[in-house]
Amino acid sequence: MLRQIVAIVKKDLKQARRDPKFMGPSLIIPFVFLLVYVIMWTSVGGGESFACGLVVQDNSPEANEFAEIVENMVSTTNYTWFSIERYELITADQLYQNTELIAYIVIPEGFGNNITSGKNATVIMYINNANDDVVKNYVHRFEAAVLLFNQGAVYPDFDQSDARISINEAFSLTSTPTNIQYMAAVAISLSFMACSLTSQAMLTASEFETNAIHDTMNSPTPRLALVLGRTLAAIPRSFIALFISAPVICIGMNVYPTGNILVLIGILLLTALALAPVGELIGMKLRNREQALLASVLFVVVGFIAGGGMAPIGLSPPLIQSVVMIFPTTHTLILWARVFFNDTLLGLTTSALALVVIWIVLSIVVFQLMKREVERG
Amino acid sequence: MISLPSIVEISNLTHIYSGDTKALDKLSFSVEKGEIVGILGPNGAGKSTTVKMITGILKPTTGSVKVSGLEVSGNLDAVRKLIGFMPQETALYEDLTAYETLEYHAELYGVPKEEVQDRIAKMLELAGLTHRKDDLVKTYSGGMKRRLALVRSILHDSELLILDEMSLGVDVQSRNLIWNQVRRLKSEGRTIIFCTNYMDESEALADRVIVIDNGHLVASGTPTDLKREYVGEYLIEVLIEGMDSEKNAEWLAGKVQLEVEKVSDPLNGGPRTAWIRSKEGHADLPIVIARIGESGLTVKQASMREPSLGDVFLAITGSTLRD
Repeated sequence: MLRQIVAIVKKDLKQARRDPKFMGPSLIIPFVFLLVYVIMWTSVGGGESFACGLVVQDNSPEANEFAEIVENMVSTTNYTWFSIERYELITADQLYQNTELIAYIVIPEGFGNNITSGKNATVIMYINNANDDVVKNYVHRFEAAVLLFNQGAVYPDFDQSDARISINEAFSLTSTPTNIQYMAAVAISLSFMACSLTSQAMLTASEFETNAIHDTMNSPTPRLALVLGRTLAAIPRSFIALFISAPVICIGMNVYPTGNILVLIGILLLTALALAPVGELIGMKLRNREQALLASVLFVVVGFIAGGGMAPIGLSPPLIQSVVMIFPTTHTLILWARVFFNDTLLGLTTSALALVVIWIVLSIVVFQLMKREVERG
Repeated sequence: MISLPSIVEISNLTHIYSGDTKALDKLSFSVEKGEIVGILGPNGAGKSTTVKMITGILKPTTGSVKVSGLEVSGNLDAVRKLIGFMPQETALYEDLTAYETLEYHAELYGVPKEEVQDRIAKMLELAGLTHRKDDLVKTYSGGMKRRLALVRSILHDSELLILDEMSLGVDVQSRNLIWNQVRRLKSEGRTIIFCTNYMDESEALADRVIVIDNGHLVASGTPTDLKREYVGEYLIEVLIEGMDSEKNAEWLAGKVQLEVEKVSDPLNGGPRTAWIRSKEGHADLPIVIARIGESGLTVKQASMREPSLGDVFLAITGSTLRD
């Protein structure tokens, strides 16, 4: 069986080398997205308007004063402030877990006492988004609120010498990238996904267009060898565009991965596996290289946008969020963004498993469909 | 007569495609070892479905297909090693060279490693492609692709060779080469089943012809037997002057005392051609000319030919166009 797997891998790679059209979109699409994104954020500015909860657990005048400042503050910049609504802690947490609140602020009991006694006063902000300027927007507002609180919101000279509280920010995540950093990072994975999907779709379309797939499918090759051979060939092929796009993006945008490179490669590996049957499905149904190229580009772009490439999926309605979770691109972006900016292995299991499940299920389904297509052919 | 063992045994084979289209209906026949069998039939008759059943691409709805005594559906991989199949489409990887195509096929079919190079060289030689072995298949002509597809199907030394439209769309030279290879394979003792729409191909190559129509076997036998059974041995063609439109084939048959297949009806009212069937051939020809002359008509031209397999085919399947 090993001999047959090797033969399939060698054949697929030779074909890819001799018809490298798939490299085009793999290199163009990420840079187009990057360009659009950079123009958008530098001309419009960051900041988005989302609901933020406020939980005031302290009844002291200081706590009320601080809460009113947070609630009534008006933006004087081009950054859009978020709306604030008060909730009980349980309600706020529930809404936050359901992603109906993008963030909530807790002013805990003892806040006023700590200020009057000169101790550290803690305010906790939960932000359901760790991948763009939304975080910065919330923190900026919080910082501005502290400044206003310190000066009583009346002193025009912003004298902080007798400030009642000072800010000591502590983030649970090591870094929260800017939108443009985030975009640069996901553009690398976009390049990989485009390369992976278009190459597989074009190869399969070509095999069905010429009916060459019949030769392979009608041979005494075990079915498992066919699936493994085709999938294994997809892995090195998917990485080809990355050798160009990754260094260009990293150097050009001055964005470098914080997380473990091996883990990042592992994420791409899982992505290649999960996208291989999708590419086969596209190629099999279209049976035309050019159409397969266009369709796979469309799939990647839609999957990228819907999966949180340009805006966090936590911001979309719950129904849409559930739907996009069936796309392998969504899980790739979740994993990629998390590991690219954080040296962590936490929180990766669900999406990693999802990619493996997508690969296995789709491989079985697509192979059955291929058999049927060959029977009909 | 000694009966050779059957390499293919098909019994009561029925296949119903989704949508209740019955492609094959209780088809039964067998193919003996070393035989060349041509499967004929109009488009949609069930030829390709039959071939797909033998190769295991399609599963029978009911009935059984055995190759070398093995039930195909339960022994797919074993049966596929015994079969060399050249599909109707050349089904080649366009971005591989001829050498790589054969090498890939050898790997999939488990040709012993030490034999791969020699076998490929031999196959390239047989296909007349040695000088183009390192060129990509997409640069080949239709005939070259067909030749490559043929040698690919015999590379793994299959006992049974199935060729679906072996010379479809190729030039005379390539067709000649393919036919010669088929004859050579027959002389090596291989069994060959081919489907074709070219009657001359069946006539030139087949030991036996099977005619399928609407999923049924409608005739089977050697080309000579079929000609004798379905058409008669000779077809006399006469160009008659003075035969007005009221005189039809039936009238002419009464005069010549032979079966008249048809009489042409030219638009310009000129001489009409009649095709008359004759078992005696040479003996009947002067009688036909004399009897037509006795009827007051003039025979301008007369010729005689042996019936072709095409005549047999039309006699069996009719001349109605098929979808």
